[in-house]
Amino acid sequence: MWAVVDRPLVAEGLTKHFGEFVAVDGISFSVEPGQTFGVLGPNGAGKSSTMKMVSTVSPRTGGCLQVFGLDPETDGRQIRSRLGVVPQEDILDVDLTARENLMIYQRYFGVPWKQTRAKADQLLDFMQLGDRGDSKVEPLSGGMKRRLTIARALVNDPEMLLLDEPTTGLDPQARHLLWERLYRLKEQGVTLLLTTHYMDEAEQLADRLVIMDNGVIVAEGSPSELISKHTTREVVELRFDDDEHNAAGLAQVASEAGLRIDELPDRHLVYANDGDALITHLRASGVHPLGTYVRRSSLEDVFLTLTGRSLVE
Amino acid sequence: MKALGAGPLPVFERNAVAFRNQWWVLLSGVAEPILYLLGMGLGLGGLVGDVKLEAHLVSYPVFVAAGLMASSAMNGAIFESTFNFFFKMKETHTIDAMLYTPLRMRDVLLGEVGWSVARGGVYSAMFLVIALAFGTIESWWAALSLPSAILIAIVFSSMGTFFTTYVRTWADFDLMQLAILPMFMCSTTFFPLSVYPGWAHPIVQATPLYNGVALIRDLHTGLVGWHDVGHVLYLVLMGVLFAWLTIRRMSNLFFA
Amino acid sequence: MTATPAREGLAQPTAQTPQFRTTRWAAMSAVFLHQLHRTRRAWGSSLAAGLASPTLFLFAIGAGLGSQIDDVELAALGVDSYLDYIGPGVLIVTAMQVAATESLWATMGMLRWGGVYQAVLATPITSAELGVAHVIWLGFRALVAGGSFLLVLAVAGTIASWFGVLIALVAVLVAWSHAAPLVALTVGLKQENVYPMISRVVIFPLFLFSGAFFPVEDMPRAVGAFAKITPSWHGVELARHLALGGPGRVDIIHSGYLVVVCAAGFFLVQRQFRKHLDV
Repeated sequence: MWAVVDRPLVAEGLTKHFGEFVAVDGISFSVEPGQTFGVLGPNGAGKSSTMKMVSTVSPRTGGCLQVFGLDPETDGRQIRSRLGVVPQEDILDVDLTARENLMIYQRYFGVPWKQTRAKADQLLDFMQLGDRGDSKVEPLSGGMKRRLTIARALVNDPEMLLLDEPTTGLDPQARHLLWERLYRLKEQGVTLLLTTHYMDEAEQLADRLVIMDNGVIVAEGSPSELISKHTTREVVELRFDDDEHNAAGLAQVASEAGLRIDELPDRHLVYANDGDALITHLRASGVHPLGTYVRRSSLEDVFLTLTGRSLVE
Repeated sequence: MKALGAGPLPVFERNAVAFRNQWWVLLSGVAEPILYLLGMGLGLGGLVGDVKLEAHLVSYPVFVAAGLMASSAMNGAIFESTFNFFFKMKETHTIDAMLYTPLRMRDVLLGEVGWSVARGGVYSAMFLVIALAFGTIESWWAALSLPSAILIAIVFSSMGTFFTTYVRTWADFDLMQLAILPMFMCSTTFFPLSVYPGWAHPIVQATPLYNGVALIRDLHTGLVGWHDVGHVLYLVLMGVLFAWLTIRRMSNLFFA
Repeated sequence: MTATPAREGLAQPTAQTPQFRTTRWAAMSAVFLHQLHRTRRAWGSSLAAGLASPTLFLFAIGAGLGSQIDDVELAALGVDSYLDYIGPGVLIVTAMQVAATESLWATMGMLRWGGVYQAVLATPITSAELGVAHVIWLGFRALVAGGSFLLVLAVAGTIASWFGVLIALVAVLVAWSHAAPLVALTVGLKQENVYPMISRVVIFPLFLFSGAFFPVEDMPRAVGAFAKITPSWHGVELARHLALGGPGRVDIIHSGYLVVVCAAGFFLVQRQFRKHLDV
């Protein structure tokens, strides 16, 4: 009993309907203190609806939901005072400067004016925006806006931080900087709940994750568990001419190495943990593709195994 | 236990900070009623002469200044509670961001309405000073015209906010203009009720601006009577009604 | 909807610039037609909204407040009813207001927010031509607003003469003579937050103090003298004379003044568009 109360987030059969549409269809999961918990899924999977219920801005239709052991419907204020929220859209205050954004947001939490300046500057520094304090929001880059949004979510030193697709639309540098900052928060003991499209993001950050599709949880586990179970770290895409010889050679190499192949109309996908090594090995074995492309394994690849080919075609 | 937010005040402060560097844009809004006072009161006043208000004759600048003071309360409150509120709700989603904090919807609405009332109140106060300078204030009762103007601002701010919850695009505000402009022109702001045929009197008297204009005019001229209690009651009722409707509607909109 | 005639006109390859340059007017009418097509859906509602405001002024001030003005004063104004006095004036100041307001928001909308004019400038049309075409367009908007209100005036019986038809042209001249300098100003402005200021301290005073509602002589001497410099006052006087059926020699001065201000405005617009858009 004590353990349940201690968990920052517990959902049991959580459901959300919008009229006829079922956005979240009875999901159950729980988050441990200090854990980074990922929710993966494509658009429309129900991730954002779940996040909104947890952040108490959307009432649940059914099931049980406890945040810090409290009920979002009756104790919304108490929950929100201990929560940091990074919504999918930045929704920063464009009429204010970066620093004013952080100062005013502290006022919403009841922090006295005199204390807001120091905290704002400290958060700007932490998010590497120290020289942007007096800038309005509009001129900031996408990555800076995102970091400012995260800084804003930290003004109340939250026990749990909710991040809804924090790196969608950011370039690689901005993404890595963000991951690094989130990792620091994790080290400080902040519980993180994040949704994402990306397998590599979940891999980087999450201790544990669930994969959602059509409002239900289709898989659960640690990233390494899920990847070893459903896909590999990388995917090699190969294109061949019509020559039967290459395809046959590929099949043989793959079966010897125990790799899974998916045949698509225009290319072959090979699931491997080291794509470049595989290509070297293929060439050595006399297989000569017209084109090769090595990429990180993504949610789509997990889906390919979880839900079959229908998603791809 | 952490402190649980500070009620509506921070929302008001947010607007004050946002306008801190643009206060002159804000203040220029009082130019319009002052120009009307100059143009209509002094320019046209020469042609019109005195206006008959029940049994009394009132000089036209005095007559129109009262109407304009009520209108400036309306305009300040309406502008803020419609265009600017819509912008924060639908374009920048500043309101959504507020709701992720311990602020409750009623804190946000009270803060927003408070801010737009302040804007209407500032316009009225500035106009009152100008009216004094032009000598269109004839009674000490006029001291009560500022609180009355704030009451008018509360009514129009809650009506404006309520209307804005139904607005989908900027073009919908044309509809509002189609209601505001006729009310401004026809609620005895510029000419007395006696101009209308008898059947039209109840229609004019039912508008909130008419009640505001009539109240302020009585206070400016000192022709105060028990019917002014009726105007105040009417305005209080409208304010409470629309504030209640707005809180209900906003809760349905945002907590879906 | 697919390509418009205007679009086809604009899409000419720049390699043929020499021949294309000769059709300067064709280029500008292309901008004009493009605008006409772009705004075709909004015409109905903006016409209704545009008519509502002057009609209200006409009846609330003209008939409502007019009822408080006695015959001696009306005789001094040279009219039988106050409605007749303000009708043509309201038309002119409304045309001024429509064109002037549009020259703030629409100009910024075309140049920056919508980026429509950036696309136009990628064609052989020069910046100066674009500026002229844009101002012509604003005059057309004023013509539509003024023309439709002219019908309201005719129905209300405030147009006593066929000369009144010419008021629509006066409206265009007044629109251009205010829109052109304002467009020339706004093309160089970086911040649109001064627009409400311009509306309140420039456009609205012009609306109220151009002699549409009362003679400018009724104001303090300095204000009255200043009013007589504004093109809108000349337009109001001219329109009133046309409506009452008695244009006289003084109206040659009024029209001449409007034409000169328009010409100067168009010159200014070309200069400013070249300065701010050719980089």
